[in-house]
Amino acid sequence: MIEGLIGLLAAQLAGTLLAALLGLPIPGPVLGLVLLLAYLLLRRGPPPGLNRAAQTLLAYLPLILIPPSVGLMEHLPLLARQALLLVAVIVGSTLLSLAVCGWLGQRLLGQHAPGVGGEPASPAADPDADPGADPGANPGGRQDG
Amino acid sequence: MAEDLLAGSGFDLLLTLLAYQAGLWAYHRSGGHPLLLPVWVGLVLVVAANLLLGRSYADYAAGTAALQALLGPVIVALAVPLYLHGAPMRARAARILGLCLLTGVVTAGCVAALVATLAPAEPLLLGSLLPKAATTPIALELSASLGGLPALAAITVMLTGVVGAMAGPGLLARIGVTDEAAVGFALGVSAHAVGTARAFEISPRCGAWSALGMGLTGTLLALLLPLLA
Repeated sequence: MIEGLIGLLAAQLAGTLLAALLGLPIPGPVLGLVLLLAYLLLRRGPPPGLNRAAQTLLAYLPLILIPPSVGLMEHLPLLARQALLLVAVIVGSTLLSLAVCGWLGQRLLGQHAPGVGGEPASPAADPDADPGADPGANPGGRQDG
Repeated sequence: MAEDLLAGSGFDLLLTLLAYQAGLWAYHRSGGHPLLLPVWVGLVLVVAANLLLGRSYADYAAGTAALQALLGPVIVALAVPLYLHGAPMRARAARILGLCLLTGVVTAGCVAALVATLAPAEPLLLGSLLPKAATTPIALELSASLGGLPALAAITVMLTGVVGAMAGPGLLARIGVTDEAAVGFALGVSAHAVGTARAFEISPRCGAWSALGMGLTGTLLALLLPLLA
């Protein structure tokens, strides 16, 4: 667990320093995410300590999101003034996103999609797949929901 | 507020944990209604308590610095589920990435057009709403670099999740999207964590695609939007 937290914090620090060094406006933790993902791809999977730390933190994600969201209390007039606009933008763009992504996804990712065929679960359809990374070896799915 | 009697007392952390616990209770009692997500209930209770007690956000933020310090590591931690769900799909990386990028950019473009037309004089709104296609913790970070209000960005993404998770499966069925991979992917890209929870209710395969779409879109937008804006 501690090893995992060290890994996460080290990646965040590396990402933050990298963004500053390169003068990029990208948030440091997001670059840290990309660095960690690159590491996982090279290593072909997370070490157990990192896996545990990540899943534990992600299980508490909603709690972690409360304090920054409470900042809203300073902007209640803006919210009241623009409530209709907010609802229109949120509903409109979400439905558009669902339709575009779903329609294209059906054609590009579905089981009957042309080109790359079949399910990634079948080894023949995915020659690049890590032998240890079939969905059966992927129990770590639930914690981010 | 010059004097903060409660500074250093642990009050703000206690309040936050109590409110979240109440949220968990309400969510389970309601059988998992998306409008009673623990984060909503917790948020409303904390804001109400602060307003009633006359506490400023600055005081509350200082008292919850320990929790806020976890936001960075939890964003980095998203790499783990992203890897676990993404590794088996590597053969399709190009079309998956393309789809995330296209949907994220279309959503941001739609937001920009709506805000520019309906409220051209509110630059704070634009910066807060542009990252709404990214998952909540990433949108929080991103809105700060886009000149928006992180809190408003967070609320917007959470509401997006509720709308998407409630309307998504019905809308997708109506336009003929039936493949579980496509349904999951659209839910994750469009409705983030709430949509992903909904996708896992449909099937593990649907959920895995949802988690992948959510993580990739958030990451790609965070890399791209600050450079464009």
